[in-house]
Amino acid sequence: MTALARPKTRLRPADAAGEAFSGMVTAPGNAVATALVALLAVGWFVALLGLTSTATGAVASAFAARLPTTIRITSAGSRLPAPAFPYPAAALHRVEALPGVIATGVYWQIGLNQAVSARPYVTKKQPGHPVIAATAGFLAAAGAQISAGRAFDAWDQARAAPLCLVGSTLARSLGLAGLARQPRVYINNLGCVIAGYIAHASREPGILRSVVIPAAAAEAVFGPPDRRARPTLLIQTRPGAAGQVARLAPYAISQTAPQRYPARVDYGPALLRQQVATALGGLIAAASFVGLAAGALGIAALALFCGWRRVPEYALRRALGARRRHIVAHALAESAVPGLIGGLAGASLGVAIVVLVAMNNHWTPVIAPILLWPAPFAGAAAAMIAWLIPAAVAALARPANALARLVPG
Amino acid sequence: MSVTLLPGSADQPEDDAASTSAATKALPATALPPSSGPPMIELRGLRLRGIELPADLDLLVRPGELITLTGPPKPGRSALLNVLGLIDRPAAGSYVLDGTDTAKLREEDRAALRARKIGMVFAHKNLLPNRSLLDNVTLPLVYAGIPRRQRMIAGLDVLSRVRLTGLAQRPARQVGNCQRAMCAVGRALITQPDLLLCDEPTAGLETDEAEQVIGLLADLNREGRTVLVATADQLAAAYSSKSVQIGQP
Repeated sequence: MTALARPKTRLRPADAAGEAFSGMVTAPGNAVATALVALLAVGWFVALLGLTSTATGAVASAFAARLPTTIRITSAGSRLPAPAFPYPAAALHRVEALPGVIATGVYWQIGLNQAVSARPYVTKKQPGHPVIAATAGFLAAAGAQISAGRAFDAWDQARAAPLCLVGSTLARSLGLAGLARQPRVYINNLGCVIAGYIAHASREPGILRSVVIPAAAAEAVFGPPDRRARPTLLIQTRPGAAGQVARLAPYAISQTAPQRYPARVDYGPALLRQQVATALGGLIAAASFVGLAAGALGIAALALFCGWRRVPEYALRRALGARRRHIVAHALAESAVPGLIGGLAGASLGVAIVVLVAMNNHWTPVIAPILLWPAPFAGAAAAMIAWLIPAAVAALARPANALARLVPG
Repeated sequence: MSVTLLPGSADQPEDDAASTSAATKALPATALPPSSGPPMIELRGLRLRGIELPADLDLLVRPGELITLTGPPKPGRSALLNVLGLIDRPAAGSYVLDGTDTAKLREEDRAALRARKIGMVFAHKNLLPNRSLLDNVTLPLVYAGIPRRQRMIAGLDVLSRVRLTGLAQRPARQVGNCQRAMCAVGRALITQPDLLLCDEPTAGLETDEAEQVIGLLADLNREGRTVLVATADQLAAAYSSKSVQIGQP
């Protein structure tokens, strides 16, 4: 035999890794248990965070669909003389050019309710119905859907075509029987061709009880709007842009007197959204901490159990020349690999759960990468920390005492 | 009162030796005479943790001796070997190993000295049951920083020495008591220590198996190693140069 003794004991990194590998191969129970707990803990943690963030995204999407998209601007009263129709084409173009604006249109009611009938020269006293004059973009801004016939277009507006659209509610009350059999209505005994019927108007449902005529035709027949008519500018925006557009639109209409054009925005469930988001955020934070704590405790508990069983072996190694730092190196090497593997598998399992649940609910899966990438390392770190405890006990204990616990081999 | 056992001590007076409780046997014809150099082990006023002894222990062991330690009862013998093997500290007294006062050593220095000077055969052999005999005998070399290839060469050499070559790759749990005892001796030998401490090496063995183990220890002693065997087995005592009864007032 060659002289093998050295003045100081030392442990080469390759030997630390080799001993850890040998330990895992020859007695895989500890490694498998550590990896399994890391898998479950990290998987549960990732799945919990992923599901909560996915649910948050789903709630946000649901509320985003209900964000205000409608702005109404009506010229306010003023001591200064103001034009009866304060929205010239240039002003409307400026409003349409604002970011987030989808459609704009101006409408006003012609006088008070007008006598509208399906037949001319009805002598019987007729109940009045609203007749609304509207510019070309109004129908789009009001979210009107035409059930029969067609809507106005720019050609009709430019030529003041004597057309009208009849709201579905009014059409039923008048007994209108369709475009083929009843092609016109009479407003104050003036015939007007029915271009179509308005079946639905999401942002201005009042027009379902009205007759809508092109603004140009209304001005030609009934004259320009008077002060009492107070034309209203209706603006459709993208979700979330209403607030910004409402602040800018008065300046787009009149840079010198924006205060004359106060904008009204229907904010709908914005407060509810904020409350739900706050509550959900708190729930997510609490669930995350609980998940993190439970996962770490789970890893620590089993790893501690596994590591504790190694105390006598560590004591034997100390009796055979290992220094305390060598024992710690053994524990770290032997726990890091199964913890890392378990953490990696757990992160994959968590992502799979999130994706499956999201697909099942038609949600968009949302997982923050900053939480996903460290997950395997968190598993390894938890396992290493847990194994450090029995390693420290073995390193600090008297080997003579710990040796007595080693199974005779 | 101090109980003194100084077998082979050149400066021990005859009447002192006669006053001790040690039962001194004649040297076997095959045993080498102990060296007359400085003592390998020198205990003065030693007390063991948790072991009540009627008197403090004094012991002087010269290099090249093979001594069997009988008494105190088994826990005391194992505790004494743990102190001698530097894996435990005494409650009181001094222990000088090959000229080094071990009381002044830090824990890591004790580990280094243990790895360099001492080979231990534990009472339960304490092999790693799932590791091969080769892995078990080479375990001390892991902490000596010896590369794996050299460890394997040295391990096979030692296994050949203890007649276990054919079982090198077999897990320790799959071999018999005698093979485990031989493997434990091989593990103690792997660092070529000057001092070999054996705690009940023949426990649980048949007579012929015990003879093999004791014969191996006697061979190692003839090669110049100092061997201390703690045992109640009279067979071991028959091979030793001195048999020491410790702890009798």
